[in-house]
Amino acid sequence: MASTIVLPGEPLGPSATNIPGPGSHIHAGHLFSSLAGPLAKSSTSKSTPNPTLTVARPSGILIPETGTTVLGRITRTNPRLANLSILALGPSGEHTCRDSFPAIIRQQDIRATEIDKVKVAESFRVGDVVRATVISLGDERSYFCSTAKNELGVVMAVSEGGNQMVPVSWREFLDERTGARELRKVAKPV
Amino acid sequence: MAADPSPAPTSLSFPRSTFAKLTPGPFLHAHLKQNPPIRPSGRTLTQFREQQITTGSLTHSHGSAVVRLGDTTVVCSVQGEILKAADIPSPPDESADNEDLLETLGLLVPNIELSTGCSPAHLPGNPPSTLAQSLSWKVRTLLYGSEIVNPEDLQIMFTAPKIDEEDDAPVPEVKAYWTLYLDIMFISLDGNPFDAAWLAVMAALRTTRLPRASWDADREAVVCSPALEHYAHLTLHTTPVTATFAVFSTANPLKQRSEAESWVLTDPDTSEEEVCREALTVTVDGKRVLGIDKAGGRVIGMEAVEECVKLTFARWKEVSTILP
Amino acid sequence: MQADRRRLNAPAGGTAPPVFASANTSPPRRRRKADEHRKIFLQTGIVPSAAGSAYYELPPDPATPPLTRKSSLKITCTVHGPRPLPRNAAFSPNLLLTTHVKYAPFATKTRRGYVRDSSERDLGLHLETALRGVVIGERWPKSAADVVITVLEGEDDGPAGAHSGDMGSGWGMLSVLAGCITVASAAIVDAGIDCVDLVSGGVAALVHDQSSEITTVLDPAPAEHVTRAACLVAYLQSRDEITEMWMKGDAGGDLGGLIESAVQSATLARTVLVEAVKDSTEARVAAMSPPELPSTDAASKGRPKDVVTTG
Repeated sequence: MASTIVLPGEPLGPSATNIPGPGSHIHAGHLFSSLAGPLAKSSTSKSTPNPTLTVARPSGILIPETGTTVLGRITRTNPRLANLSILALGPSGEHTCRDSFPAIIRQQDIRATEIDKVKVAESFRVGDVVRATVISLGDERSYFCSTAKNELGVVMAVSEGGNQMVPVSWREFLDERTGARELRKVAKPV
Repeated sequence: MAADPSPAPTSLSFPRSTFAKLTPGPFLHAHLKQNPPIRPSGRTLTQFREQQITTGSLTHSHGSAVVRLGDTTVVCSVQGEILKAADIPSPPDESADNEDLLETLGLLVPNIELSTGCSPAHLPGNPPSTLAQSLSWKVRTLLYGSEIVNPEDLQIMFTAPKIDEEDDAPVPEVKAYWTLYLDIMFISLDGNPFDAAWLAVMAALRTTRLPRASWDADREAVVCSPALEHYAHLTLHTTPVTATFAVFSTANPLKQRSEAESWVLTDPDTSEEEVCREALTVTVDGKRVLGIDKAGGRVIGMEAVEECVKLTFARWKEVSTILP
Repeated sequence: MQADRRRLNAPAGGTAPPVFASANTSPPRRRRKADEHRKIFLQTGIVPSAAGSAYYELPPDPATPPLTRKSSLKITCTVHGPRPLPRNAAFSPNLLLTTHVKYAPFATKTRRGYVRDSSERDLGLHLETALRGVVIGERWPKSAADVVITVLEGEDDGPAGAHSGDMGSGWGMLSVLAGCITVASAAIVDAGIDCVDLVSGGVAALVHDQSSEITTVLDPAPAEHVTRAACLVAYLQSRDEITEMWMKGDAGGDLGGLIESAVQSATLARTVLVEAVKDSTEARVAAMSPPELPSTDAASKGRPKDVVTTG
């Protein structure tokens, strides 16, 4: 079903009878589009009599927001935190970022349980690909991320012998070639 | 949990572009491992990207070309200006070697500009990067070394008229030279800037038309004829064509050298350049090799160089027919 | 010009552009009506690696006689962003918009240098003013966007032979800025940055005709007449607002009329902008709909193929 394409500045409807969704803005009592993309109108119900008008961005999400699931690579670790370079947005990284965003995963945000006993070196190594969620916009340098959920954590890792490893438990990866196991905070396969 | 020996590929169903971004090396490797090897863009190992050449679109230049090599787009403009012989601070000797005259005087001035926003890595506001400087120098070296232009073609001569009958026949004098400024600006960069830049330089030089210049003894200056029919093409003596190759290798200090596999990729794009540590550029003209430039790595040996030279000769045949 | 150590420089002794025995072209005359805009060519997505990009050209009128000198404005624009703030920047709750405008050395009749000069910085500032009123910055905290403009061919400043400002920093700059505003708007929308509206640039001028009467023309080509005053506006049609105005010369009594004409010129440019943005958005949306299906069919030659990649 082809939805209408609207352009920035195109009027969408009066603000009295419509709710502005992402991709739109209000000016002088009227809703206008902020993006060039397809217009979507949400369904109405008794509790929400007014439809929400949304304009989708064809290129998808552009920067991480609080609550976004992201994929990134670990660039540095130290005993208190790990530095993550966010490379793609979305649970399976649907939107790759043109520039990577710097982020930090603090020791207390790595897991949900026993957070004071967590060791960063046993959870992440430099070069690991990690799935995390953004918990805060952070300071001017980095976003803050967390992997404190079952489906968050390391998704791809390379062993010390240089081979790709496979996950075997929530704590371990296995290098099939050498048989060695390494400790990581593993993301549960979805 | 019991150890699961089999890999779990179904747990990682990322879109292609995400894999390419997260693990670019293994992504390229997985493609090259196929039989026959294929590149992520769909090209074969020895396939160049499609090129498009348009000439003559710039009004203020004596010659210009826009070249598209895949997603790499570059504009080259040739502008001629006059250098008066009298202005040269240390004029070369009369008997000076003709071959070096062009270079000594510096009559060909190429400059490559990358900081045009042609890719997120090349934003303006910085002085030319090492890459831009080295590309400019490579173009300069090839221009002078290939002797594509001779100093005689750029000289503006003047023969003083005989004043008295008893004077000897007047000797023609070089009063000025044409200086060619080649400005190469990248609009979009997706790998292999040198081949695209050189192709643009060739196309622009071959379509360059300079006005007819003569020395006005009264004004002591060079004056050009405005008539369009007096404009003349530059005489070009060679047709150098370049080809660049990148080498992708799985060699790893953690593994045995014998286990490593490698592939030579022709005309690499940005995603391939980023995971390759070795590169080779071959320049040929007709049946002669003008230069081989290799950087980094230890995969390419004599055999591979010969292969690449063969490919470059084939490329020469292709390009010399489509050049304007 | 001092030698730039990082670039290859002119030969010692310096060069000068060729001097012609007589004018090699006859001055062009305006062939279109006073309220007619030149045909605009606008295309987005020319630089795939940038977040957004566009190319703007005023192609030369094919009907001009062959010996007439005709220059055609050519501008490329790339938008990089929203991207993380540069290292030294302080936290900003709004999008940090930076503009860079650069003329190519071959863009004007007299060769320009590679280093940005003050007229280019000035253009960049005017462009930033025009765009700041359009971009919704609050949606992009902690991010920066760079708008990079390269002018491949500029607009002549006056009739051929006039020695005033062969550098394109006179009347020609207004037409260039109008083009920059329109192309930047297309590129910013292509990048997916929220805007309140599309902004287009328009120029109107008071010119001396052959009859030495003063008339108002839209989209003046300074090479075609003697200009007395000119005005540029950056105009938002859906709000009827002007985000940037630049006036040069002596407009006499009818200032408001000149501004109105400039707005009219901007409206004409906007129709091309709307069409270009609409076409590219439709193409993008159509390309998005069929999901990428993994295919190991070796018969599909030349198209990107999926391969099984284990994690």
